[in-house]
Amino acid sequence: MPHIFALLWILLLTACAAPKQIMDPQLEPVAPVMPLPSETFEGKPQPRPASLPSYRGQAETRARTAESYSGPAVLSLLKQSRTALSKGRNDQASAALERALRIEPKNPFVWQALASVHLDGKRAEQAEATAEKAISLSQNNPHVAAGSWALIAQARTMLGDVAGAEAAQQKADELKDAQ
Amino acid sequence: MIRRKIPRRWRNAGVALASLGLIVFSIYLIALDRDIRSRFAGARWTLPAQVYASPLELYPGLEYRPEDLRRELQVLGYREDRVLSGPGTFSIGKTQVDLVSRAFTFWDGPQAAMRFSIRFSGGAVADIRTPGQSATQALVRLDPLLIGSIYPREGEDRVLVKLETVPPQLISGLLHVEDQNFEDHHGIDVFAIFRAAFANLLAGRVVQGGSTITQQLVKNFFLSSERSLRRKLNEVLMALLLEAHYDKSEILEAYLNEVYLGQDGERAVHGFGLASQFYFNKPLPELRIHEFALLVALVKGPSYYNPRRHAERAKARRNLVLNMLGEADLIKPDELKRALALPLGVTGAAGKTAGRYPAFVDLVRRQLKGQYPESALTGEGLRIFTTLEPRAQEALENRIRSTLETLDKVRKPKDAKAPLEAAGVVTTTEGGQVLALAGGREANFAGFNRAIDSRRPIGSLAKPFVYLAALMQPQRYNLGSILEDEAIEVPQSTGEIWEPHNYDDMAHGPIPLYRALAQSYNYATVRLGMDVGAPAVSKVFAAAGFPGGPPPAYHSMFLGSLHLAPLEVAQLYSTLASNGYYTPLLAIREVLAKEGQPLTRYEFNVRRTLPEGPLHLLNWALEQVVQTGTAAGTAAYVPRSTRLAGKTGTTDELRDSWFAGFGADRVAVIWVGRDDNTPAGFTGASGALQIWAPLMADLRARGLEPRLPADVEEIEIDPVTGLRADSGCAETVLIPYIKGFPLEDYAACAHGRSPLRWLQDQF
Repeated sequence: MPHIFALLWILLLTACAAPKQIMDPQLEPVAPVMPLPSETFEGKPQPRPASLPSYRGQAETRARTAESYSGPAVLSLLKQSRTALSKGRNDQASAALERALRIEPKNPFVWQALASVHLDGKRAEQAEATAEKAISLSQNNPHVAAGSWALIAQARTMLGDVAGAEAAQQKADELKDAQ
Repeated sequence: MIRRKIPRRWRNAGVALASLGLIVFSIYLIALDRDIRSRFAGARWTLPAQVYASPLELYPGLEYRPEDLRRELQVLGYREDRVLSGPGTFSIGKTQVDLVSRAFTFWDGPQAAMRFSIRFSGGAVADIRTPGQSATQALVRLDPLLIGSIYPREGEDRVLVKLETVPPQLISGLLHVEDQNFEDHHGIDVFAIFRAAFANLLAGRVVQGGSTITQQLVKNFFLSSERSLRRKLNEVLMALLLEAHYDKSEILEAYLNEVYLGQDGERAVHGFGLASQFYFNKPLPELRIHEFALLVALVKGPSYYNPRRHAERAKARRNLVLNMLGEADLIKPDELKRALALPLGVTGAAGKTAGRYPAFVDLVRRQLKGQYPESALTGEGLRIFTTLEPRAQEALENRIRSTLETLDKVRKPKDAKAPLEAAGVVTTTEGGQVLALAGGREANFAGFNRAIDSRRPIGSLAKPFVYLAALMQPQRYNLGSILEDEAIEVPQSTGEIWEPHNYDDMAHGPIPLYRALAQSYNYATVRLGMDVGAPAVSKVFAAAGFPGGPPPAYHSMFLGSLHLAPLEVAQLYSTLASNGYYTPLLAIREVLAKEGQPLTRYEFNVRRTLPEGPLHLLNWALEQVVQTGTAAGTAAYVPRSTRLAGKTGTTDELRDSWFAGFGADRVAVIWVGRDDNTPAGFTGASGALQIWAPLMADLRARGLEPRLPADVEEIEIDPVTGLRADSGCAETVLIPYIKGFPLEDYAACAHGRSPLRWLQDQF
């Protein structure tokens, strides 16, 4: 009995199939699409899985603070940076953060801290670009983005870009409200 | 006896003559005095800049194994020693390494020598403790590797030592062997001269010298083999002058830093500080008796007793020195016995240069040029902290060496005159720090630096910039846009017709945009380039950091007729890797003055030059190059779960083989070819990729974890056709697109399960 259903099912599907066929001869053949150069001498190609990598399940960045996001090494450098800044050692503050970025290059909290050190050192253009970078890496984490937009607003004020500063501040406020 | 009366006039003339002589002599003495004093000051203050690698940072979670640490410590010259007798020693167990770090003055201040216990588990650092402290350490920084120095043209190099840091046994040993009356004489030792003369007379040849340390110092200042009475006289006079001006400790310190102790190519090794690094790869205070006895032995004749070339001669002389120290009770009998039995302990093979990583130091030199005058670099003892990561550098050099050996076996054109060469660069994805740079397969040879100076056509490495220019027009292109891979003729302004070809000389028909890039099809790329226009592509190149601004907008640029050096390619790809933030590549982090005051810091300098959304799409496609495209061979070295992106490049007749690619934290660019521009015989995949892929594994490059930019969304496509799918398709893949500009063409399966697939599933 199930075989009959199966057969019917095939017939039905075949009848309904769209005229455009997937096996268009103009297109690439199915699955192992891998014209490996013939002279590849090492690492025999393995049969490829038919699927491409999925972007599902990428880590969501919703950490509220650097503490809940960063490893202990980076946290100790963030602390070191703050201490240096409080002593007026702007250069050492940014040096510590650059060390941290060598350990966690995509940590948005560190980029944001670096932006604020740039701002402290009156390097407004760098502050703006660095804060932008923090936002890029934050994946719209409102906790990072709000602070970074506020830094951008300050940097733009320093650069004399009043309208830009206002727009940035508005974004910061919106994000803060959304939290 | 007849006394002849000397006429008064004559007598006066005699007095005048004598006075004149005295005046001339005084002037001469003053000139000598000035000469010797300036040389003396020079010996104390003229110091080549020292170049350091970036320090190893250890922290919990770092992917690192005890063997890795052992290798790194050995490169640093740490000695395996179970009792950890002092700085620069370590002991290694299966899951734990104990070490005593060296004191070092970093950019942010001095760091004392400290003892650490580092525990490992699961291929990573588990925790770091300091005995006697309850808290674990979050981060530990070791002293950085001294990779070389920037010494002047005359080739004098030294590492300054202070008298108080020199082991007392070395000083007493040196004085015992070279100048026993040093503390008492005034520059010359008359007794020693007579004793030497007597010995020489007996032997019938020169067997002993009577020179004091002071005389030897003078001799070293004006190094020349000339043996004349006048020179000897000058030497004596200058020795006396020196003793009159300076006290014994100053003279001794100058001697320790000045004495000539070896030759390394055109570089002269001066002083015990550098000699210690040169022969034993560690600082002077860490030398043991048998080691500094060798240095003392070398004073007599660094080339005659060269321990790397004449090991037996050197050992005999070293043991002679040891025995002299034993006789003088400067070392205990059991110490003597042990020391005599030890091998020389000199590092490196004969003739190996002590200046490490010359290609990288070359880059450092170029970055410094124009910022510091040559005299400051070669004379003021600057300390230069670079971005070099010794692990990455070693991995790059090793992979280039071993892969080229294999490639030589695979294919060696009979008529090839020039050997197969390679060059490579490794940088960070963020901050633009150059971690490693290799200028050729002979890494220790400071010759033609191909990584910087060899500009070659980049071939298909140019394609991503064509595709990015297209993706930056989301209203016209997305990753699924269908391109035509059909032959094309492009009329040139010169009247000629450009006819590009595919690598396999086949046309592949309609194909989704991302796959045309992954398979590196030329027809599709040229058609796309023609469509977006050369000026748009040129602008993208400029934004990514093309050297000297936008390249001329020729159509041939779509297929990479542009000539670039590997370092310049690394600049372009690092902008892609950091999602559109351009950061000038840097080899230097900080420059410190001799006393440790910070002079210059090279900051992270980021600038957004390319839009994030389209770049996210491009990098997704570059991932497909590695996953399913021309670089699929990567899977033999790096697990597919580690997501890497990159591009192969091959030029006409297989002259150049390129690969440029990146993960989350590392960018690497490799070129393989021949200096005479004859065919290398390899494609990007069969040549350069065979270095790149295992290198990325060695570097433990982290896989990409892209974060969706605000203006990007993902939809499912049918991987077979590259067309939009819905839940009806058996397998789907998420593909990113710019919000508001989704892929529109639906795959056949989008309206129900495809019968063919269903059949495939059944059988």
